[in-house]
Amino acid sequence: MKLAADRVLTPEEAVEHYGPLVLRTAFGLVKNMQDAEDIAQEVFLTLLKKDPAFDGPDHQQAWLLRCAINRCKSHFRSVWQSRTDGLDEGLSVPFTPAESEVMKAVGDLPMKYRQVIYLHYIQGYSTAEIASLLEMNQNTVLSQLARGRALLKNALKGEF
Amino acid sequence: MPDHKDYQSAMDKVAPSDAWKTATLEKMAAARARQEKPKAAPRLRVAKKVGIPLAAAAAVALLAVPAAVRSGVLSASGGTSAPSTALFSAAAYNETAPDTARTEEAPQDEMQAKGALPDSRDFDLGEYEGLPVLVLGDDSAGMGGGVRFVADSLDDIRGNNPTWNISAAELPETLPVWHAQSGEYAGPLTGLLERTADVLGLPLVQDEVGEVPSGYPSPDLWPSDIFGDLMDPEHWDPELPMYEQLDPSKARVWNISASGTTVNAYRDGDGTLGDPPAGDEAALALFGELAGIETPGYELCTDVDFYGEANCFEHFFFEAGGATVTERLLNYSFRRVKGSLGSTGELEHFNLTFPPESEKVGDYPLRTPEEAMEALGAILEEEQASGKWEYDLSVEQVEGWQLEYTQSFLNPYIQPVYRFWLKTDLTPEDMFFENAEGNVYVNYTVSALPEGYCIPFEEVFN
Repeated sequence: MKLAADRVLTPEEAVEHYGPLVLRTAFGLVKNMQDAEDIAQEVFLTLLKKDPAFDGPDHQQAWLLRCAINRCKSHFRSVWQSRTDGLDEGLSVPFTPAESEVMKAVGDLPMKYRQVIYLHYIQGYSTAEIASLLEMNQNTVLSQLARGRALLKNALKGEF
Repeated sequence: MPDHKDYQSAMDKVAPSDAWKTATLEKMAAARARQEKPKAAPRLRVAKKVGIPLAAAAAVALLAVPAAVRSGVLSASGGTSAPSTALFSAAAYNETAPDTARTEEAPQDEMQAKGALPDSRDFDLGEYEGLPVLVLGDDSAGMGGGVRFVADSLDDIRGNNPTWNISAAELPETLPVWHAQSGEYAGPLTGLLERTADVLGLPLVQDEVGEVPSGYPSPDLWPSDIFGDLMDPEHWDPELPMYEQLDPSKARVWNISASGTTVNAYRDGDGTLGDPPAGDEAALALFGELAGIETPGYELCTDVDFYGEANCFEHFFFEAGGATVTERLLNYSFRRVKGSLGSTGELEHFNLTFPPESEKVGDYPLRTPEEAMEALGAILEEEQASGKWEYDLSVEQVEGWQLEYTQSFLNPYIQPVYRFWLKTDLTPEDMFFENAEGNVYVNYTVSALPEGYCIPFEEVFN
């Protein structure tokens, strides 16, 4: 999943290249496609308006990822009443029952576990990379990953 | 049974639609057209000025909590006194101390304090040469203020701070400053968790301490957070270590943490929020006595969100008593209770703010609102000159101010600031808000201390 471009992209190019990454990240954290689309849009508008100076494509990708996570946290801080749309509402291909079950279980995790589960299983980041990305100690990431996984095993009555 | 492969296949189905891409590109085109100075677009400030990696700037954004949320103190007499739940009172705090109430080790000469303002001052909190020059971090995630709100009226968003636009005669001469409850002063954090656990009658298991992020310039200040769990005694044997518990997954009732002077807790499981007043009342009933709230006041701040709907961004009960402005400010800042109910009607989240129990640094004189506004003017002029914002902003647009206490992990001190509210010429549409009406307000904080008593965090770590 860690598919950085071969160069720093313009904001418009970034929408095309990193749109799936940013949208998926937002969806993975806010559990709602409409909110995820809004957040992803804000991320790219911020990229355009702030025009950060990137060292390279990896830096740009990491910035977009962090910006999306940050926006999601702000979203949770500010939301009064959460939206109650179905998890797969807005998707062209609906989830299978098993996918819905696991998505709900992940969505029920506290944010700190959800974000490391997402970054590890979906974005393919190692715990060291997650630690760097989130500015956390690697042991903390390992602990949160193990704890999140244990909670999922319990919720799903099986493995994860 | 579903597993991580189902998670991955589900997420593979999440992809941007053509409609989303089109709408996003259209909004970006509109934003580009609005940018008058595209070449002068600002860079992220924290990463450059503080000299820490961009990742750290992101961490600031992730971790920084609005000062209004994290404000948090007590023993106004200072020192490392035992925790007290007494309210701020005239007996405990002499607001009208004639000599600006310096601490014993404080220099009596303001110029001496100003003289201790070298660019190369070490960030050593253990060595004081009298009344120390404070360091004030930017608590707005490196964006230098300018947090924007859409609202019909400033009254909807500014809260019930007792110092709002008070007269010069009412302004306190001094206000106390404390060490932040972190690093070597983090001792009270465990006590906060224990006292909260006692109220609920649940065993506390403390199992995590916030780690020092790489690149953080002053590890001595860390940790700023400690984490624990409140356990159900039916499923938890306090005599056994974690790995011998029969069923830890059933035992945890609350995830709880303490940061600064604030305790935050979420019930294990879904944390859907709803109906702030009802949640706040439930939390007040449980924790009001612990927080020392005898005369509850209520704060509910509501702005207009992206969709044009009312959005509650702050809500809590606070202690409204106090014989003087200082007492009321300290009680308002450091005795707070808030809560949220889940779908079952049970309390799902609570947040308690207590008076600080860390060592008091001293009572600092305050600069006047006019002096603070001059400092604000310099900030705004710098921002305008750099093209940071694509709209005009000046002190002429200030609609009011209030004194607040600020604390965050960037700030080694719990100290007062002025928060200024400005009304911009922007419309909600300028901010890409859909179907929203109202005025666009911004706020900025600047130190409440006279020049020379406080320097920006960036200057210390540059």
